Parts: sequence; C-alpha cells; structure tokens
Amino acid sequence: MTADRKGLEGDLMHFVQSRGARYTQATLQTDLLESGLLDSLLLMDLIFHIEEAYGVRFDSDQVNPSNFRTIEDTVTFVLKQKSMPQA
Amino acid sequence: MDILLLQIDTVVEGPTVPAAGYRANSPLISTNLAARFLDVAEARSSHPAVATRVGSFSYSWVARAADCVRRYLCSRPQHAAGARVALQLSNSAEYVAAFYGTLLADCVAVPLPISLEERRMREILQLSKPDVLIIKPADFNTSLKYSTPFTLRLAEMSGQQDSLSPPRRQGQDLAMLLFTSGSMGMPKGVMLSHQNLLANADSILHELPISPDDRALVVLPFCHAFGNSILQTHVLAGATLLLDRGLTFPSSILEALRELEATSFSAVPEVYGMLLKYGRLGERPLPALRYMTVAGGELRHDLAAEIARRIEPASFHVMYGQSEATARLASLPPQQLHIRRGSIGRPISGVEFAVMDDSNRELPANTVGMLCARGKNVMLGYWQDPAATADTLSVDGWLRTGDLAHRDEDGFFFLHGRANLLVKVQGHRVHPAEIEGLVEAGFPQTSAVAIATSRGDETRFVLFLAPRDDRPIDVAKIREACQKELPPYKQPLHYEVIERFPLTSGYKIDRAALALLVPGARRVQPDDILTQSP
Repeated sequence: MTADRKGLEGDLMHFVQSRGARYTQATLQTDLLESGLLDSLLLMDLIFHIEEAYGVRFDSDQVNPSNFRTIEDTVTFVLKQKSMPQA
Repeated sequence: MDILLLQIDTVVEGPTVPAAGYRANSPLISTNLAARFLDVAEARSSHPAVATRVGSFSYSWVARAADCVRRYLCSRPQHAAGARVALQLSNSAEYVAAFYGTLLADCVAVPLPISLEERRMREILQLSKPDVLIIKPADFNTSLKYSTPFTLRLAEMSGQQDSLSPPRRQGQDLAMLLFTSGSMGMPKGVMLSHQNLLANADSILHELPISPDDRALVVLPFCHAFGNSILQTHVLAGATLLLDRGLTFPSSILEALRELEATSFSAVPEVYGMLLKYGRLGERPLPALRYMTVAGGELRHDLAAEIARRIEPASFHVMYGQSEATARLASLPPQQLHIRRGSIGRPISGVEFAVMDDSNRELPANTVGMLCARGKNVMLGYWQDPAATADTLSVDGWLRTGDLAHRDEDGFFFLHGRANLLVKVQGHRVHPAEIEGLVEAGFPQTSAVAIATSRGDETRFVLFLAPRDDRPIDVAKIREACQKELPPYKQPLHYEVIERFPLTSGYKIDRAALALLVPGARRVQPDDILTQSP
C-alpha cells in the first residue's frame, strides 16, 4: 500500500473509526489513551494491520504510548520507519 | 429504564462507615456479599481500597459511596428486591461503589463491558430488563434515549441517619448476572448467588497468598468473571486494587508494576503472550512483586515456564476457571509447574472435580472425559433458560464444564480441548486439538487452529497458522508432518497462514471469526449489515 501521509492518515482513521460507535468520533489528534479507546485488542489489530499493509515491523521498544497515543503519532512513526532501510 | 450518572467532585475522607448504621436496625446477614464488604470496610477503614497514580479511595470512602448508590436505588418509587441494575462502568472506585451499593439495595448487579456493541447491548437489556443503568459521565452515550439521567455525587451524603432497612437477600439469592456468549450466538446470563461469590472468593483467598497489604494491579475488566474475581477476593482481604490508565502496552504494564509497587498481577494468556513478545518482562527487577496468576484460557507450558523463570522469586500460579463456576476452579501449585507439565492443577478448596462419561459416571485416572465440577461456587443456572441449565447442571449439583480432561494418579487435572468442538468426519470423531497439538509439538514457533468446514456434504478442516515469533512458517513441512502423522480424514484440506488470530472480547481465540476466513466462506453475516452505519 502507498505510504504518503494523506493516504496513511485516511487508512488508519478508517481502521480505527470502523470499530464501532465509540470510535466514530476519533480524529487524527484524539488521545486514544486518555479517551480509553485504545485497548490491547485494538493495539494488536493496529500492529497487525500496519505490518501487513505497509511492511513495517515493530520491535518491543516501539510498541509504546508515544507511537500510539494518537493516529497522527502512529502515522508519523510508520512514515519514519518506511523512510529507513528495512533490516 | 432510568439512567444514573455517578460523579466524584472531590474525595472527602470521613470516618463514617455505614455498617454501624445498618447494625442499629438489625444484624447484618453474613451470607450477603455486601454485608461482608461493610465488615471489611469497617475493619480496614482508612486503608486504600482503590489506588491510582493521582490518589486513592479508602475503604471508608467506598463504603459511603456504596451507601449513596443504595439510597438512590431504595428511594425510587418502583424499587423492588431482586430488580436488576446494569453497571456499565470502567474499572474505577465508582464501579466498586456501584457494585456493592446495588447489593446493599437488595438488587442484582448486571455488569456490562463499556465497549459493548449496540446489538449485544440491546439483547442483554431485553433479556435482563434492568430498572437502572449506572454509568459515568465520561462514558455517557447520548444515543441512549431511555430517560433523563440523574446525577449522583458520590460520598457527599456521609453521616446521614439511616432510616432504610439493611439488605435481606442472602445465600442462594441471586446477586449478579454475568452475560457470556452462548453457543447459539445469543448471550447467556450466568446467575451467581451471594453464596457463589462468597464461596469462590474464600476458596481463592485460601489458595493464593493474598494478604491485607496486597496491591493488585488490575488489567482485567471487573465486568468479566476473572476481573470480578480479583475485585471480590481483594476487597474481602481488605487489600488494595491498583488501577492505571493506558495499561494497553506491555511496557506500560511493567512500568505500572514497578512504579505502583504492585505485589500481584493477573491476566489472561494473551496478555502474557504480549508481555513476552513486546515487553521486557524480567529485565528490570520488580522487588514488590509476590505472585502472578493466569486463567481464562490455556497458556502453553513453555510460555508459563518462561514467565515463572522471569519473575522469580515471585511465584506464578496457573489457574483454571469458568464463569459458570463464579470464576476459578483449579490451581497448579507453582512448585508443580515443571513436574505436571500442562496441568491445570487440582481443584481449589471447596471444589470437587470428576471426569465423567456421557452417562455421568465417573471415569478412572488417565481416561479422558467431561470435566465436571461441584461446589458452592457453581452457578444457580442460566437466566431464564431452563433448557440450557438442565444441559449444564445435573440434579446432584455437577457442572458439566464442556472441557475434556483427564486426571493423573495424584489427582492433577489436564485439559484436552472443548467437548463441543468435536467434529465427525466420515464417521470418525475428531477434535481440532489433535491436529493443532501435532503441529504445535513439531513446530513450537507456530500457533495452529483447526477449523471445521463443510465441503459439499462432508466436514473437513482448514488449518490456520500464525507465527509466534519472527521466523517464517514452513507450510510445506507442516503439511508433510500432517500427512505423515494423521489419517487422511484428519488432514487439513487447506493451510492458511495469518499474522495473528482474531480474539473474542474475552481474549480467547475467536474460532467463529476464523471460520469466516475459511476460503470460500461467507464473509459478511446478515446481522453485521444491519448494525453497520451507512
């Protein structure tokens, strides 16, 4: 999947918003932790989706609040990983 | 249905515990769970019952808050003993107050997950017909069009003279309805009595090193059987429940364990899997930690052994349970972990186990049959479902768990999958666990789930494979092993590699969701279309 910021933002927003009524209000800047939206199930689904769709793999140090607090944070992380040569 | 919003403006500590007020009217019934809570609250008055990073709520405060909830419920003109009160609250001091307040008002608590899908919510409300739904302002969903909510400010009514009668329900009276997924897709309400909840909590207090100075970091939602069990045991011990936000991340869990000086931690196998995969459990010491427990699913022996090794000298307790038995039924003593590989342990005190055949006759050691359990913790039955109750509970009190098991000569039990996953293939009975076990034994880096699927008129298996680590899955080798080890009717028709298995809200592998991923299966259920927004 293409990984320009706009496309990535749209894709991850859709991914989160389509999880149910509680999630439809989520925006790029919604604090997913403060709002209680990000549970471990969504976290694991997001990791799975990103790894599958964008070929970005997470190591244990990268599965942390600063990379997943908002959708924007996750987009930034994925773009950074995509711009680096993959191991 | 009325809606009650619980709000905490400021936490004002006060010495008053209403237990004395109740006693003035008549003695509290010791087989009422809320009465036991009040006794503990009186004895542990200033000790924190619930603690977070920003503050704590003493037993005295929680007791006063629970009394506020009771007063509201009892003051409603339609108030009646046995009325259901739905609690849709995240883990919080409000939840604890609402739970015991509901029981103090002689009502029945119906805890619901806060993220419950609309359709499921409708079904449960229809089945249980609660008089009141208790929520927090933050969780208030304006799409609920039942009534104008009433806002109750917790623990502000301290010290009021009590003119209302103490709780009368006790023992075998219904205290709680716990909704679980039924095998037919509709929710089933497990009916738990005061006695069920008290008996199971007492058995666990006997089994685990839970002391009044225990500080349990809670990740399990209180609305689930296992989370409820953590709540009841720790409250009855007069211990502290540690709540923290953002425990989604393995690193956050480890941080919270360290910084909040947690002495214990309990979770389902998938959380331990995450702690091993993305956490760094064991790298930094957790000096306050005394023990961890796992239940709610089978944790593979090698993973259990790895966790036990990483948390030493704290102990790791593998437990087994079921909502129908309140929560937990068996426990493997930590020193037996390496001796009884894969065992769920022995029944905890007050619980009796037997492995039975289809005619409810007890089977000898080392023979696989239905695991049955008996004890004061076994549910009253399923809510308004006598047929399902009769299928599950025998007249002499045995609960058919639906799990297949054998016991060894020393009385330790071992699981062999779910009875209701048994599939008949060309007249042969096949259990998916047979195929899964073969693959996982030969390829420990691979998780395998076999799903029965129909091809024409026959039933066959599709084997789903997911990696446990970074190593790629060698499908050709796995297929070769299956062809070598299994008779043709047990061999999977297809092998599907996926990144990870879908999980149910109870963090178990969602076999129904996997079945939809079977090539050629209908992916969209009619019900899903109805609940999708345009």
